[in-house]
Amino acid sequence: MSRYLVTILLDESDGTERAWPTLTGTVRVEAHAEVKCRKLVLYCQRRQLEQESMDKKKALQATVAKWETWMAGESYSYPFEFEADVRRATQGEPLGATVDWLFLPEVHLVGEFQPDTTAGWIKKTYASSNETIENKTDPRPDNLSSERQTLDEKKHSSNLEGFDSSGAASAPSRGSQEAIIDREHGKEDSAASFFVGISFDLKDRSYRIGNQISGKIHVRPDQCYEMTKLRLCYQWRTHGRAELKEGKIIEISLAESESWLPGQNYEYAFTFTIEDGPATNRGHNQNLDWYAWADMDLVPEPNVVFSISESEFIVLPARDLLNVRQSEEWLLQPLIAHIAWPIGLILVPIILYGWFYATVELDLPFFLLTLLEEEEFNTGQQILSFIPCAIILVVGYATFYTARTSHRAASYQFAEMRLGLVEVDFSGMPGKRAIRCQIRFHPSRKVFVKAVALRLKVQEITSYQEGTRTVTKKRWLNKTQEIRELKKYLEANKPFEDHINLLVPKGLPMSRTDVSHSVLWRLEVRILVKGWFNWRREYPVNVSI
Amino acid sequence: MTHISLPYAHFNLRRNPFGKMTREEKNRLVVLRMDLSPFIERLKEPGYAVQFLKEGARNKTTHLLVMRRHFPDSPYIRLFEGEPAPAIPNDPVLFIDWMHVLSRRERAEVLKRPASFGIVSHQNHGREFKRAGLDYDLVKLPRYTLPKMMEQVERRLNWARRDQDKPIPRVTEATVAELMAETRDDTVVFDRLYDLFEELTGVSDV
Repeated sequence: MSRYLVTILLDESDGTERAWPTLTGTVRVEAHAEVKCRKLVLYCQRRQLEQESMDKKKALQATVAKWETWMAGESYSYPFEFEADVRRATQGEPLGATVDWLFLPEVHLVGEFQPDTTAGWIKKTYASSNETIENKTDPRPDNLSSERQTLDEKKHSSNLEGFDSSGAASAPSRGSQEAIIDREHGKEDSAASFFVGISFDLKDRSYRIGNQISGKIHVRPDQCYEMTKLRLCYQWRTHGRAELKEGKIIEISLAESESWLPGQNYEYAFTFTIEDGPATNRGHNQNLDWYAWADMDLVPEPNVVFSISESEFIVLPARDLLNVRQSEEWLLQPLIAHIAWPIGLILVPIILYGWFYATVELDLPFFLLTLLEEEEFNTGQQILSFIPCAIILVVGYATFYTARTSHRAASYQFAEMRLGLVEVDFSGMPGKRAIRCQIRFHPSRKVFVKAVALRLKVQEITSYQEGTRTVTKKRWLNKTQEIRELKKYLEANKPFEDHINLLVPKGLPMSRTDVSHSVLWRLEVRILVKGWFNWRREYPVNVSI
Repeated sequence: MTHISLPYAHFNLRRNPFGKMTREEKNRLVVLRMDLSPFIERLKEPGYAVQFLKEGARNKTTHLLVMRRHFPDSPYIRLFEGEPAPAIPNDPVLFIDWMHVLSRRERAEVLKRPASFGIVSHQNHGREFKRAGLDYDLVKLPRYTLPKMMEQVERRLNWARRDQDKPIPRVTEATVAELMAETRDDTVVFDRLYDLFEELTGVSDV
C-alpha cells in the first residue's frame, strides 16, 4: 500500500455554470503513514484531442500545500482555484464547446529528489458559454495601482540585474542561462520577452546588518497577465566545494491582484532589514552569499521560472570591530610543555636502548621467526611472545611524538626561564580591522630581546561528499606575520610590556566550527631572544565581528 | 570586511563553476557517460534489472534519475544508511538508490515483484537478480572521454556565467587533457579545476 492517496474533488457548480470557469475544488490527502511533504503542486491543463498525459510545461500550476507533515490515518484537504486561460479561450476555442480538463497532483517529499507524480491524473468535462469571456478579454483594469509606474528603460540603473525570457537583459543573471536552455527546448519563440529584474539603491549592494536595504523590482511582461501576488524573497546560501547550506526564505508581499500589460514597465519598491543572520563570507572552499528574487503568482502561468531571476547583495557585519576571544585550549599548552620535555628526556634513551638490545643482543626479528616455526609452542604462546614487540612499537611511536613535542616544549621552557612568566592578551582594535597583542613579562635575568613577532594562521577545513565518498580538504587561508624589532637588553627583575598590532587581511572568513566546514584562527606569538631558545606559543582564538 | 565584492564578479561568474551543485542542477547539467537508451527500452518490460555499481562519484544516481525521466510515473526511492527503509510501492518500474541498505530478505521480496528495476548499489546484486529470475545488466560507468569532459566543463562554465555578453575564463582542451592524464578519477579533474579557478585573478585561459 502506498504511503498516501491524493484525490482531487472539483466543485461541480462552479465548473458547469461558468464559461472558461474558475476551476475550484479541493485536493484531499489520505495519509497511510507519516509523510513529510515539502510541497504539493497541482497542475491543470485543458485537454487537447486524444491527449492522455499532462504537458507540465504548458499547464497551469498552483502550489496548494507547503511544508506539511501528514500523519498516518489522517485526512487533509487543500482548496485550490484555477483561472482558465482567457487568451487561449478567445483565440482558439469556439464558444459553447465542451472542454476537458486534466489535473495532475505532484507531491514533493522531504528528502526525496524527485517529485512523486504517481498519484495519477483525472480529467473533467465542462460545458462553456460566452458569459464571462467578454469580461475577461479586456484585461486592462481602470484602477491601476498608484505604486505602478511606467519605467523608461534608460532609467535602469547599473546595479539592475534581471531575467529576460528572451535572454536579452542588459545584465543577465543565472536566469538568462535558463532562458538559453529553454530556447534549446523550443520554448522561447515569442518575439516579446518577459523581464523581471531587481535593483538596489546602493550601487555596490553592500548593507550592514541592522541597516535598511531598499531597491526596486522591475517587471516588463511579454503578454497580459493577471498578477495575483508579487513577493520579494531573500535568503542566504553557501556555494563552493563544501556541503551546500541555506537559510530560511523570507518573503515580503509587495503587491496583489493587478493586471500587467505587455511591453509596459512596472516598478515595485521594497525595503527590508536583516536583523540577524550570517554576514557575507568568502573562503576558498565555502562562500556565503545573500540572494533576493521576485516571486509571483500569475495567470496564465508564464513559461519561465521567476525564482531564478535572483540577484546577490552583500551583507556586512553591524560594525568592523573584531571580537577576539582566546580559546580554552591554550591553557593546556604550558602543562604539556612542562611535562613533555622531561618525559621525553627519560623515554627517548630508554627506548633507543631497548631497540638496540632487542635487535642486536637478542636478535629479536630472528627470535620471533624461530618462535613461529617452533612446533612445541602453541598459538597462545606465540601471541604472547608478540606482546613485548607490540608494546615496543607503541612506546616507540609515543617516544617519537614526545621527542618532537619536547623539543618545542624545551624551547619554550628554557626561554621562559630567562623571560619569566609571559602573559599575552589579544583584543580587537576599535575602528580598525586589526588584532592587538599585549605582551607582558618579568625577565629573571638580563636578556637581549631581538624582536617580538605575531603571526596569524587561518586554516579552512572542509568535508564534503563526492558521490558516496567523503573528502576532507585542509587549506591555509592566511599566514600573515608582523614583526616588531626591539634589539635591546632588558634588565633583570624589571617588568617589560609591549604590544604588537596585526592588520587582518581583507575578506578572511570569521572563525567557525561546523561538521562540514571549519575556519580555525590561530595566533602565534614569538619572542626572539639572543641564545638558543626563543619563546614561542600558539593560541587558538575565536574571531567574530 | 567592507571590501567584499560580488562573488567571482571579476571574471564574470556567479560562483566557482566546479563547486558543489544541487541535485537538480546536477541532473540538468550532466553529460551522460554512456548511452542509456538500451536500458530504458528494456526497463519498459517487466523482469529486467539494470544496476549501476561500484566506483564512487561517477554520477550513478544522476544516471539513474536521467533514466527515470522516461518513466515519470515511476517512483524513485532513495534509501539511507541507518534510517528505516520506506515502504516500496507496487509499480511496474522501480528506481531504487542505495539498494544495499535493504536486508537480503527485503531485497529478495522486492525483486520477486513483477516489475523492472533501475538500481544503484555498492554491492553487486547479480546473483540476487538471477535468483529472482530477472534479466539484468550490471553497469560500471566509464570515465569521461576528453570531448565529453570538455562538454561537461563548458556546461558548468555557462551555468556559472554572470553576464552573457561579457567573456569568462576559458578552460583549454590541453589543460583538461593534462589533468585527465594525471589522474584516473574524473572528480579529481573537477577538483583541480576548482582550485585553479579560485586562484584566478581575472578572465584568462586556464
